[in-house]
Parts: sequence; C-alpha cells; structure tokens
Amino acid sequence: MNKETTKNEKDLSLLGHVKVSLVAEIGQAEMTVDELFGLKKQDTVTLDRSVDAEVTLLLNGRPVAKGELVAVEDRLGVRLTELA
Amino acid sequence: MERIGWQGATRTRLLKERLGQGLAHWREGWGVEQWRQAGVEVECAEQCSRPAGERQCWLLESGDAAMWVEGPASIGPALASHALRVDGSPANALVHGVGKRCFFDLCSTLWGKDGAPSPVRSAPPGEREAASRHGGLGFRIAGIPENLTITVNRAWCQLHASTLPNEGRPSAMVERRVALGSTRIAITAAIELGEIQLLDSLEWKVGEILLADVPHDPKVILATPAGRIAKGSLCRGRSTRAVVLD
Repeated sequence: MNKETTKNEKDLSLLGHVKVSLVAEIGQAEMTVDELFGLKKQDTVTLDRSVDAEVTLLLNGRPVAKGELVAVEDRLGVRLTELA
Repeated sequence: MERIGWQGATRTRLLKERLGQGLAHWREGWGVEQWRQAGVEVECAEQCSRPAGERQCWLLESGDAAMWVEGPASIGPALASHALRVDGSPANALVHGVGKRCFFDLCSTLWGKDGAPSPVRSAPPGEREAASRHGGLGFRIAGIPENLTITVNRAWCQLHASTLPNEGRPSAMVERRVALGSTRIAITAAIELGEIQLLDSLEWKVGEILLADVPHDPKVILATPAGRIAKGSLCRGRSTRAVVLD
C-alpha cells in the first residue's frame, strides 16, 4: 500500500510541470452549409444557451467540469460548480 | 484513398464524334480527295494498335489536359506527298516543310480548342498517365497515309466534356454544392482560457474561481468538427448568448 502511494506520488510529481489547454465551451449553434459559407463580419451567431447558463470546461478537449463565467477586475474567471 | 473511373459510353461516343469533326475540318482545310475515308475509331487506351516500324510520339499539353499523338516518323512527308501529289523522298525539303505543318495542323485541330498547345516530341504515355481506369481514352485514325493513335487523359476529356451537347434532355440534376447547401452543421462556440499545469487541474474544488489569462471580454472561437471557421466577440442576445463575428 505504502509502496503504491509512493509510486503514485512519484508519477504525479513527474507530470507536475506539464501544461494542458483549458477551454470553456459556451454554447452551440446549428446552421446550414449555405449559411456557414455566407457568414461575414459583424454577423451575429445566436447560441443555444442562455446568458447565465453554465459553461463546460474542456481539458485537452474533454469535458471535465462545469462553471459560471465571472469577471474579476479585467480578467475572465470561471467559478466551478460541478466536477467530474 | 485512390479514386478510379472509366469514361462512360456516352461521353466516349461524343468525344469520338468531336475528334471526327476535327479530323473532317482538317481534311477539308487541306483539300485532299484521298483522305475522304479518314475516320476515328475508339480503342482501349492501353491497347492502341501502335503503328508498325519506327514511330514517334508528340505530346500536346495544357494544364493537366494531355493528348499524345503517335505515328510513324515518316507521317509528315507521307501527308505532304499526298497533299502535294509529289514524291515524298527525304531529300525533298518542300515535302518535309509542308508535311510538318500539315501534321501539326492535324494535331492542333484534334486538340479541339482555341489556342491549342504546340506538339512536342515526347515519350508515349506512361502506364498511369492515360490508363482507362484513370479516365484515359484511346483512338485510332485511319484513312490517311499512315495510321495514327491518339491517347488522351481524363483532364482532356473533362476539358471537352464541358462543351458536349446534353442530347437535348433537360437535366434534373443540381450542382453538388447546391445539394449540400441545406445540410445542417453543428457549430461549437468556445473561449480559450489558456494553459494550466496538469497538477493544478487535479486539485480543483467546487466553488473556486479559475482566473484565466484572458480579458473579461475574450474572443470566442466558432468551430465545426472539422476545424475553426470564425472568431468573434461574446454579446447578449435577447435571452441567449450570441457571438458577433470579427
């Protein structure tokens, strides 16, 4: 048991400096191919989620958590509401 | 994935007729009575009956479209001696000069489009260049002093097919792009929050706020499963989020 714990800690410490990309998926939309090719500047694409809906956090492209978008001073933040 | 395809019977027939029209035009232009029986026959591109003896090949090429004309080395003088009704001996410079022009005129006419490329000496078409399975076609021209073989590739067929008659039938088909136009595509909107250390992500707790390295009005990326399509700014719709494209 102790051996196992030591091994896990050792593995994680090896990965400690590894960076992974974090993305917040804020909604989805659906459009036709014609509409897609017709998109131009200043066009508005309406998403399927309400303004205050939770966002899905993707770690390396896979959903791992949910949260709410918040503004902290001039930066964007995500308050975690659910973790996998 | 390799795509192969033979020319259909209808297109082959129409292209043969088009070559035949070119041949007739050339024959009338040179006004040689003996060539009245000249005609075009379809042959398998790989099994074109090559003229016996010493033969040469000329290539006409424009973009991807290519046509190979093969015949005996003596084709020019043979044509000229018929046209001029004189002896086609190698020493006769007039016969050679006229023969070259007559043959090159035939090649250009068979090419079938304005601005035909000049024929250049070439090796015969390679195995893949004009193979039937890759859309190549072979033709044989008989009824002139020497038989000629014509090999064309798919691009040449395509170039000429665009002007082929549709046999008077209105087409019920639509362009592929038009057919795909109403296909619905799912689009995902996301904000890139940057990179984090792997260990930090394992220690997240509900209620914590992850402060991202992006401003409070970040750019939103719109993407399909195939990749990114646009970038914009997040704004409020009537009741839902919306993205105004940059």
